Amino acid sequence: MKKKFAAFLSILLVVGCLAGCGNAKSTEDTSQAKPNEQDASTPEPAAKEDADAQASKEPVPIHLFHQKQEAQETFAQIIEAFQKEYPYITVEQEIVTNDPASILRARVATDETPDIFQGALDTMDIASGGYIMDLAGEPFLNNINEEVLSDSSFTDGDGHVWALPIDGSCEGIFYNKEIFQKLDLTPPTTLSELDHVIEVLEKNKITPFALGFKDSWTIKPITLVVVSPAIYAKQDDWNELKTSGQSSFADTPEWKTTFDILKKIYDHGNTKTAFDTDYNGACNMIAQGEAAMMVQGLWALEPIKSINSDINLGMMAMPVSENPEDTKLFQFPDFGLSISANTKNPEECKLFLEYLTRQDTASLWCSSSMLFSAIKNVSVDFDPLAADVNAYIDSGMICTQADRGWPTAFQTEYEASLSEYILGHDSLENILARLDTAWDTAVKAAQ
Amino acid sequence: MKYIKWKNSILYFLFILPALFFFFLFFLYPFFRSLWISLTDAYGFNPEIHFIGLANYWEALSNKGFLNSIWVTVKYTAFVTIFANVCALFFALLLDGRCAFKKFFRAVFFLPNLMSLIIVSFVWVFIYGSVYRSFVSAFSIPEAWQISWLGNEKMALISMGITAIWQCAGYYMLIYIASLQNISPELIEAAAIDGASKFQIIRKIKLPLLVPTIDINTILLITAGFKTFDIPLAMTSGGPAGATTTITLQIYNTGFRSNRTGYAAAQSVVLFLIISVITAVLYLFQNRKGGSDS
Repeated sequence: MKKKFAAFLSILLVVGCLAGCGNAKSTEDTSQAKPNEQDASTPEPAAKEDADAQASKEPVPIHLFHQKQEAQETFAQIIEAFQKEYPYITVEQEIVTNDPASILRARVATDETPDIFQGALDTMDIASGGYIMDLAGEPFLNNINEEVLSDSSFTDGDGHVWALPIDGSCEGIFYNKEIFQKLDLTPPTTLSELDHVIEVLEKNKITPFALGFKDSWTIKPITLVVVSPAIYAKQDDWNELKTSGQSSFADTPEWKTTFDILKKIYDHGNTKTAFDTDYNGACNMIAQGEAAMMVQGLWALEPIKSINSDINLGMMAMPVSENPEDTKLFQFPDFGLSISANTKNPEECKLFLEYLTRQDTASLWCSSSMLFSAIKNVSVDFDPLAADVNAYIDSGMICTQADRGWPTAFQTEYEASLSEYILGHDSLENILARLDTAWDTAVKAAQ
Repeated sequence: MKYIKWKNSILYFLFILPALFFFFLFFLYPFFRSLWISLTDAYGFNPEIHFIGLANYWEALSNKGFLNSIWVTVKYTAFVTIFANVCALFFALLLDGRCAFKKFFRAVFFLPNLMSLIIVSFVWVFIYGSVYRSFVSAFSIPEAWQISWLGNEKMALISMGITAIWQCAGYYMLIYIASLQNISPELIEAAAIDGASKFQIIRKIKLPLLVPTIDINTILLITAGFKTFDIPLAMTSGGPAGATTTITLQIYNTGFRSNRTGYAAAQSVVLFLIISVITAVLYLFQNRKGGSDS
C-alpha cells in the first residue's frame, strides 16, 4: 500500500516537472507568435514594412519594475499597444507593493537592476550611486510640460534628468461641498477665515478635520501643504541654504507656523480617536459626512468615492498666513520612471519611455489613474474635483516643491518629530533644533 | 594509538563539516561582516564605504530615538516575561491536575502558538479596533470608560504585550506541564496524607521543583522579547510617537527607510551586546543557584 502511494507521488512529481517545462515553452511560443499576428492585422503597407523590419530583429525583453498596483491594467494596455508597434520588444511588468524600496535596493546591490524602474523617493539616492542613465537631451523630454520638468524632483541642479515624470498629483484639503453650502461657508484663503470655518463647523457639531494618524504617514501631508507655499514658494533654494548653514529650522519662522497649523488641525479633528483611526477610517469619516475636511493627496479621491460615490467633494489649498496670495495648491510630479545605467538595451528602453509621452498614451494613463498629466496638451477631467485643481493651475496659484529634495535619512526623523510634537513630548524649540541636527547628519550620511 | 585517535577526529570533523560550512556561511560570515559595516559609513545605494571608527556607536548611544527604543523594549520585555510566565504557570497547574477536557484545553491554549505572528497581530488589530468599537456601541459604554487600545501612548505597549502573551503563553505552558509531570507522585501523595492543602502542595512542593524550568522560560522570554519585530510592525508601525518602536523596528527603519546601513549595523551590534549580557547574567545566576541541586 505504502509503496503504491510512493509510486503515485513520484509520478505526480515527474508530471509536475514536465508541466513546468511545458509552460515555459508555451510562453516562448506566444511571444514569437506575436510578430506574425501583427503582420496579418496591420492595414497600412508602410507600417507593415516597418513591422517586418523589426520582426527580423533579435527579440528584446525589457523588465519594468514599479510599485503602482492600481496601474497594472493600464500598463498592460499600454504595453500591448507598444508591442504592436515594436513587435521585437517584450515588456514585462513586475509590481512590488510590499516594501519596494528594499527590494529595489537588493536588486541594485546584486547587479540585477531592472531595465526600467520606479525609484520613487529613492531616485536621487540611486542616481548618486551611478545606477541611473541620464535622460537629459532625449527628444521625448520635449513632450513634457516645461514647468513640470524643471521643477521635477528628478531633475538636479546640474541639469541631469534621472527619471521621466509622467503625471502630477497634488495635496490639499478635501472638503465636503454640501456641508459648506449648507452652513454658508466658502473655502478659506487666510488663517482667520480657516478659524471661522472651524468655529462654525464645531458649533454645528460637525468634526472639522478627519484624522487617520494610526497610519503615521498621514500626518506628513498636513505639513507639506503648509511648507510648500509658506517656504519653498518664496525660497525655492531653501534646502541648499539649510545644507550650507545659511538657514535653519530654528531660524525660519514659517516652520513654527507649520507646526502650529498641524497642532490646530489635530486639535480640531477627531482628536481623541486620531491615533486609533487609520487612513481608511479617515477616508470613511469624510465620505460619510462625519467630518467636513481632510488634508490628503489626490490619491485619497478613489477610496473616498468608493465608499460614497455621491459625495460632492472639492479640493482647496491650505491657508498659511493672513495674505490670500500665499494660499497656493501644492502640486508635484507623482510617477516617474528611470532607466538603469547598466541596461543591455538602452535604445529599446528609451523607445518605451518615448511611447509613454505620446498624447493618447498619456490620456489613457491619466484618466485611469485619476491624476494630472505631465505631458503637453493633455488635460483629463477624471472627476468634477479636477475643475477645482485646474482653477488653481490656471490662475498660477500652485507651488511645486516640498519634501522631495530632503535627504532620505531626514525623512524618518521628520515624520517621528510630527507626532512627538502634537502629543506634547517636547517643546517646539527642541524639536526644531533636533530637526536641524537630523538634517545635517542625514546630509553627511548620504555623501 | 595516537594515530587512530587523530584519524578519528578527522573523521568526526568531516562529519560536522557540512554543518560547519553552513554555520560559517549563514552565521559567522554575516556576523563579522556586519561588525565591519558598523564601523563604516555604508549608505544604501552608495557603493563607496569608508572606515569611520566608532562614530556610529557614539551616535546610537546619544540618539534620543534609539535610547527610547531600548527603553520601550525593556518595558515590553518585562511586561511580557512576567505575565506570560504567570499565565503559563497558572494554566499548567490548572491543566496538570484532574480536569475535565484536559487534552482539549491544552490544545486550545497551544493553538495560538501555531499561528504566524503577523496574522496574530492583524487579528488583534481587528479585535482592538472594529470588534471593540462594536462592543462599545452595543453596550453603550460611556466615553470616559472607553479605552484607546492602540492609539494611546501608555496603552499601546500593553495592548501589544497582551497580544504577545496570548500568542506565546500556550508554548510555555507546555514546558511547565512537562516539567510538572516529572515531579514524582509519591511526594505529592505523601504531602496530601500529611494533611497539606492543594495550595500548600503547589507552594511548598511544585513551585520549588519548578524553579529550573522558570529560569529557562524566563531566559527564552527575555531573548524573544528583545527581538520582537513582527508585532509592533504589524500593529502600530512603532507609533504613536515612538511609544511602541522596539529596537529591532528602529534598526529596520534606520537601515531600510533611512538607508543608513552602517548606522543600522551599529545599532544591531548594540542589541546583540544587550542580549548577550542579559543572557550571561541570567545563566550565571541560574548556575550558582542550580549548583547545589545538581
